[in-house]
Amino acid sequence: MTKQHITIAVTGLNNTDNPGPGVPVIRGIRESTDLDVRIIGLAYENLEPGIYMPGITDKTYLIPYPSAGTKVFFNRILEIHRIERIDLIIPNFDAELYTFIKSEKLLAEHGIRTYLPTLEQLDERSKINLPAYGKKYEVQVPRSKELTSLNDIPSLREEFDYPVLVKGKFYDAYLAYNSEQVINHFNKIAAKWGLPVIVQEFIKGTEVNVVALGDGSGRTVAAVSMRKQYITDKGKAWGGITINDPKMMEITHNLIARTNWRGGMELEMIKTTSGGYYLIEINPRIPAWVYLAVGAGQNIPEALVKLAMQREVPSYPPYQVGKMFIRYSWDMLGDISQFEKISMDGVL
Amino acid sequence: MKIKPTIAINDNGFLFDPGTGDSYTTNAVAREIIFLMKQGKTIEQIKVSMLERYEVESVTFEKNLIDFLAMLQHYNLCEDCNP
Repeated sequence: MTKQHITIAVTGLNNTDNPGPGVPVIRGIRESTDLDVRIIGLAYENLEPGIYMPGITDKTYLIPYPSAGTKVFFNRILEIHRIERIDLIIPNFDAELYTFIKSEKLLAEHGIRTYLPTLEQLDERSKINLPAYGKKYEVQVPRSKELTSLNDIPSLREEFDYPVLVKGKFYDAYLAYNSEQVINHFNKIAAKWGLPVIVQEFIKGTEVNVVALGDGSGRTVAAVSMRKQYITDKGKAWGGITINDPKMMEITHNLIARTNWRGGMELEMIKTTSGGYYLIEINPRIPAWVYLAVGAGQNIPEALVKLAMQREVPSYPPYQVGKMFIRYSWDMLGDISQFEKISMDGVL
Repeated sequence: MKIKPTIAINDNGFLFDPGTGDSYTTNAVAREIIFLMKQGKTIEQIKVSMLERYEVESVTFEKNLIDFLAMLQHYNLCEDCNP
């Protein structure tokens, strides 16, 4: 059988200490024995490491942030499409998902596929709606409250015990031990991600995560659970190991079945010492540690590509438990001419 | 009193709990005790076996064994290990 040739555009090439999922997603796709791919990187900043890493993208284009306006954003995507004939776009940032989901039809009209959740699915799992989500789907979630101004902070004392987690609507989470620290974090997060800022009850326990893929019919195509072994000061996994936790798998399968989730997702949970599970967040996309799942036997990026291309994808058999990943930093050398090209021409 | 069946133990005495992702290293004596536990030996049988092999007072060994079993129980590696 000849390999299917596909041109795939991927965002999230910021392989920093707070990595985007683009590079591991590309690694997974490139390991497919069924796909012949050309990878087009879409980068927001000219120093995203994935632009320069050998063997990752075939070509990378700079694109404007979605906040520059939908029209500007899509004009650039379509401009790239005219050159590269993109078959599929895999967006990897929470902040760009809304724009991509909203424009699914427009992209499809130009022959560009996506494989994303619906707007309803995206909205109902947002941090702001998590309490209602927990109630609806019968999963335990921490109590939380939206903060829209500094005036909301003094009353937190009556509703929460410190410490509490202060979270941005898309990214960032900080632990605060008193109202002064909440104010500091509120200002920092509001300036970066806008309002509301979310305050969440702090649940003590072990953080365990699941990366999963749903096909939109309620079927879980893949699911791998992981425990972070080494966490950076930004709360990101620097090392992790696959674990066998039947309860987490049950929660994952149940949520995908009941929500008919379509696309990649990450469930972040806290397992308490008494064996309880609290769902603290659902990320509506593939997480940056997905290459661990690939190594453990479930190539989630490859499966997502196949599903997007309307190919039959059976559910994966159980993954290998005890597979580990350890991130590392590596000084990659480049040349000023590369930087010049991406900065001046917007393409490398 | 037995090591949980889900715990993976290799010949070097490296323990891995696949449910939590935690791993543990043991010294030579702990490794021997764990292997005896895996064979289904009772505390008394472990004591006899170890006292035959090592020059140690019975009371001292028993005290250390109880501490070790409590530790295994604490880390959720053992079933019914609370002496």
